[in-house]
Amino acid sequence: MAELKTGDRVRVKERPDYTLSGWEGEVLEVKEDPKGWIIIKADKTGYRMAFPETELDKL
Amino acid sequence: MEIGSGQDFTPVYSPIELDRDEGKIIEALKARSQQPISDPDHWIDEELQRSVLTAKLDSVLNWGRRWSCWPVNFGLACCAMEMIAAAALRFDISRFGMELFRASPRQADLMLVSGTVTWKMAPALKMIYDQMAEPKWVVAMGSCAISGGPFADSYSVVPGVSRIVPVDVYVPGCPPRPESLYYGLFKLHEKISQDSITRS
Repeated sequence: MAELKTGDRVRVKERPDYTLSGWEGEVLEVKEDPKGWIIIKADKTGYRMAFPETELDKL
Repeated sequence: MEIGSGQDFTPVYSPIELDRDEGKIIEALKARSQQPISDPDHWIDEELQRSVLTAKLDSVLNWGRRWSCWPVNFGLACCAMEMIAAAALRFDISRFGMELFRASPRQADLMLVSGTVTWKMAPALKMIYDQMAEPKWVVAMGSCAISGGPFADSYSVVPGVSRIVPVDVYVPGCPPRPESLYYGLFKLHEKISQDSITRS
């Protein structure tokens, strides 16, 4: 898995019955505490959301 | 009895034998003795590093509060479904130490207001907030809790829960997804970590 950093473009991984599958956005913050969480700004809504880094693919 | 009348007063052990016995004891003690501790202070430092953590009281308290925020149940409308989803298996709010949704405000320190607050519900909300022990925090989840949402002009809806209780974090959305709620909770964590026990 690629190391994500602020400013990267990411896509939410495909998962069955998951509304946000394929959503794209920009990484705003890579959390240190709790570790492994990424804050992104979703293109579709403009909302900020927190994802585990394992659920995101770097574009 | 007359002294020196033929009795022998020579000791049972000669001084040379006594010296030999003492020497054996001393040699045995030397063999069992440990190597000297070269630097006692250094040894104490290592021990302290293993068992003692130095930190500011504020940081320790805030760390504990941040990772054991127990929310009080306050699901009022459709946002509650997303709050429940955030607590359930897929999203699992317990990884942030927040899985204990309490039915009693006296055991909770976080109020997640998720849904439309009506004026009829407002006194109950205020009473529950007042019953929560300090320090306590409030998260307004969703458009209705933030501003009344589409019902803002209604005679029966409170146009924002901040009119009733102080709100720490606003999570927008209609309803906000668990990922958005988590972002709001991270913001709350940041706020808690900046708190101080000396602040009046």
